[in-house]
Formats: sequence, C-alpha cells, structure tokens
Amino acid sequence: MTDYNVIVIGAGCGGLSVASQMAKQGRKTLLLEQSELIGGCCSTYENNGYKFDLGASIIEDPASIDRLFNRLGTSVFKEVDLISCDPTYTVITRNGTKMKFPSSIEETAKEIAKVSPEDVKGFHDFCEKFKGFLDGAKEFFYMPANNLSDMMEIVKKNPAMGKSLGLIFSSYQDVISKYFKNETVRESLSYQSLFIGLPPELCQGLYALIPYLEHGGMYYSKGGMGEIPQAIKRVGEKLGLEVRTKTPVAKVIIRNKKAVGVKLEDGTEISADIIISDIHAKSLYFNLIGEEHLPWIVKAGLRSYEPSINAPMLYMGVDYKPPLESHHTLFTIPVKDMNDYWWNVYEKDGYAKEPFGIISWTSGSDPELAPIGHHVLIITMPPARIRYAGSDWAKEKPALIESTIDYLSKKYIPGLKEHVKLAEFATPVDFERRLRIPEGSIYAIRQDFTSTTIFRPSSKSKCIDNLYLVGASTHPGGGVPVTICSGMIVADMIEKQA
Amino acid sequence: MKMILFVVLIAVVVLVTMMPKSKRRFWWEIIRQAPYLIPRYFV
Repeated sequence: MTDYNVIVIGAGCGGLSVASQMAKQGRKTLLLEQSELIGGCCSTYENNGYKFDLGASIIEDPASIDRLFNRLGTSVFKEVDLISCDPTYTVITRNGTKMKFPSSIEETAKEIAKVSPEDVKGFHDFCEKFKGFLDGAKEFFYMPANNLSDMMEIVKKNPAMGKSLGLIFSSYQDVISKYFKNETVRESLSYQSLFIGLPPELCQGLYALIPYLEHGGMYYSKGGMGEIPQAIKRVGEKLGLEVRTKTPVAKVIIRNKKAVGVKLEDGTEISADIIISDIHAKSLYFNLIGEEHLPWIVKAGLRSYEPSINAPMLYMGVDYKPPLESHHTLFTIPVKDMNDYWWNVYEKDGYAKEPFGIISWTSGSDPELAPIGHHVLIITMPPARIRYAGSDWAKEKPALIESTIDYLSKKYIPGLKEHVKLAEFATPVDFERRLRIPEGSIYAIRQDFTSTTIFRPSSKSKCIDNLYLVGASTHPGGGVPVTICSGMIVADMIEKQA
Repeated sequence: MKMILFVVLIAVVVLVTMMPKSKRRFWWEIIRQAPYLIPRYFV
C-alpha cells in the first residue's frame, strides 16, 4: 500500500495541469514544489507594492488552457479574469517605424499597408496558409510523441503536418521572406522566433504561425500571470489535490527500474504508484534518479541536449504613466542583426550593447498591479547565456540597469529615467537559482528540429517504469499553454493504462 | 556500404555548401546535431 497514487514533482504549469487532472480521475495526488511560489516561469511576485510577472507576461491561445479547465469541470473564463489585449502589440523597429498589430486581421492589413502596400496581399496569403495549417494540425499539441508509432498517429490525425513539410524543413526567416518583401515588415514579424528560443534563420518555419496565432486573441490575467497557476491549484484542491510548497525533493526512489516514491531534502520518504516530474529532464535523470539507473544511450542522449535561451528581465516600478500604447511593445532590430547577434554575441557568451526585446506594460492592462498613480514595466532583454565572457552577471547588474534605463528613455519611453522608483535585474544566474532550471534556460531544451517530438525526452520514461515527464523539457515544448498541454497528454496516457 | 555512405556524406556537404548563407546555417545545425538523434530517441 503506497502513501499516494501519484506524486508530482514541481508546480509549474505542466505539473499543476497533470496533478489537477490526476485528482479529477480520483487518484490520491500530492504535488511538491521547492519554491514558495507556484507556476514556475508563470508566477507573480510583489515588491514594495508593485506586482511583477517573473517571466510570462501574456497568453496566446487561451483555448488550450480552457480545454484543461473544461476537463476539470469548469472554464478558464470563469476561473480567471482575462483581460483582452488589443492591439496585441506595438512594434517599434530600429529605424523608428512604429506599427500596431490589432487582433483583427483586416485592421492589421491596414497597418501593414501604411508601411508597405505591396505586402498586404502577402499578409493575407500568410494568414490563409497558417489558418489551413492550424485547422489541419489542431491535435498535435494534445498527442504523445514517444515513438515512431505515435508520430504516425500524429501525421494521421493532423493531415496538415504531412502536407506542410516545407514549413518543417525551412527556416522562420525563409517563410517570412516568402510572404513579405519589405524589410521593416519582415523585422516586425521576426522577433517572435525568439519566443521559440532561436533566431529567425535557425528557427523552424512552422513557428512563423505565431504572428498569425496572435490574431486569435491575446489576454492578460487580472492580478498578474500567476493567477493562472493559482486558479488551476484552486480547482485541483477542490478535487482533492494536495499541494505542498517549500518542499524540495532530493531523490526519486528507484527499485528494480521502477519509480516507487520520493525522498525529500529533509529525509522524509513518500511512496507512490506513479511519479510525474515537472522539472528539467536533465535534473530529473542525473540529479534525482542518478546515473547508475540509466543506460549509456540515455546518458548520451541527455548530455547531447543544448539548453534553450535565457531571457534576462528588468522589473521596474515607476511613478508616472509611461507613454506607451499597448500591453506589449516590441523594440526590434533588423533580421540580419538578430542573426548576427546570435552568432557573434550570444554564442560567444557576450551581451548586447544596445538592447532589443519586449516592454510589458502590465499595469496598463491591470492598474491594480501598482500603487495609485504608479505603473509596472517589465523588460524582456536580449537572450543571454549563463556564462558571461570577461566578467560575471552579479558585477554587471548595476551597469546593465543604468544603461538599459538610459537607452529606453532616449529611444522608446520618454521620461522613464526620471520616474523609476524601483528597478531589479534578473540574470540567467538568478533564474537558475530561483527556479532551479539548469543554466536558467526558460524553455529547458533548445526547440530545434533535432530536439522536438520523438527526439525530446519522452513523456513516459523509456528507462524507468512508472515515471512520466511534463513541462518544457518534454513534448510538445516550452511556453505556458504548451506545458499545460504536456500535462493533458500524460493524464490521457495514465488514464488509458488504468 | 562504406562507399555509399561516403558518397552520401560528400553529396550532403556539397549541397549544404552551395546553399545561400541563411539556409546553410539552418541545415548545418541539423547536420551538426544529426549524430545525436539516435541517443535522443531513447531518452
């Protein structure tokens, strides 16, 4: 007789998703989280009256999150106060061109026409292409990809995947260049490749669907992004889920190649029939399980994965209303410069002299995130590696805060410098320490062709019985809705095997 | 067999080298990581 039917390690969105569904299936489920915050990269913390989102700052595709809540017998729109963000974002290119991207495709076409009338037809063709692709590949994110037979099933049930090999075997940059001629328009639609963690020339072409997907609606959760994991936890607890925070797991107990329980850092052992991990696959296998339990080929595979990008963040509280026009403002650089940054700076452990990234004006959508008359600004900075050539992140922090505020004041947010009341900079080292993610990599493992689907760590462990994986390091990958999908995939697998 | 593999390897290298720079980098990354596909399948 075990203590629990299921133990889930890690209360990120994937862990919460699967744990709440296990409770819904009537299993006695325990969710263990090392931090005092739940939600992982999708959490919100407070400092001096300002509420900051740690990482994620908007939701695309609320349908997949709603699908989870539907399974739990409710709806995301009932459990979370979602605020529509329209325009979805404003882009300011390096040459100073400003473009708004409203939710409406027709309105966006008008904005593109102002910059490049010849690209309007390309934009409609682009939307038509990805509408067809999404209609024919809807179930991809909800299906397992553990082996070749799963892949055959995916292609069978998502006919658009088989018909869109051109998108899979071309780069994001190639797809954007095919539909758009104007360099400014290309620049305005290319930053999104970094949402997958790769520059436009390395990212797979099918991810060019992101600028299309954004027209399905972008939302912010009132109270901060952390309200989404909180809502999943609340609903899960009503179904019998037990959640323990500040409870780090030291080991997964393995007997005869079977996961049979966990050992906490305080020495307590808890047994369970099924163990589900929502932590980085490398940390799970190498640290919590141990190399002695792994076949050589699994060790070789795990070691070969490259970390995804890290996105340093600057969190600011300001005592004025910043002159911004939308929840998100993308301040971009030309496509060629993004690629050059990757090869000449990022890959050489350097950092940007002039930043590019996203300004998230979250209190513009929800004024209650800051004291009256004050606002919250969160800057997603250029990607970086945990190694920092020539210096270390801790030493660089004050200079990075000062230079970034100075730069943003001059170019994008007039008056900012005089109104900053609080500024915190989170480096890759901070992300690694706070979230216990190796190298602070926000999407765990690089999401290129060679590290996706059957080549990503399997949702059902291939070397340890009764062990499952959810979260960014397994299929389908990183991002809030996607990790929630990983939880749905594993919940279905366990239910089918019962 | 070795001869066939050698010819395929040379053909791939020539093909990738002849590509425009942006396509070359995309394919080079896939080729660079190709040896890891088998171990990754077993993870």
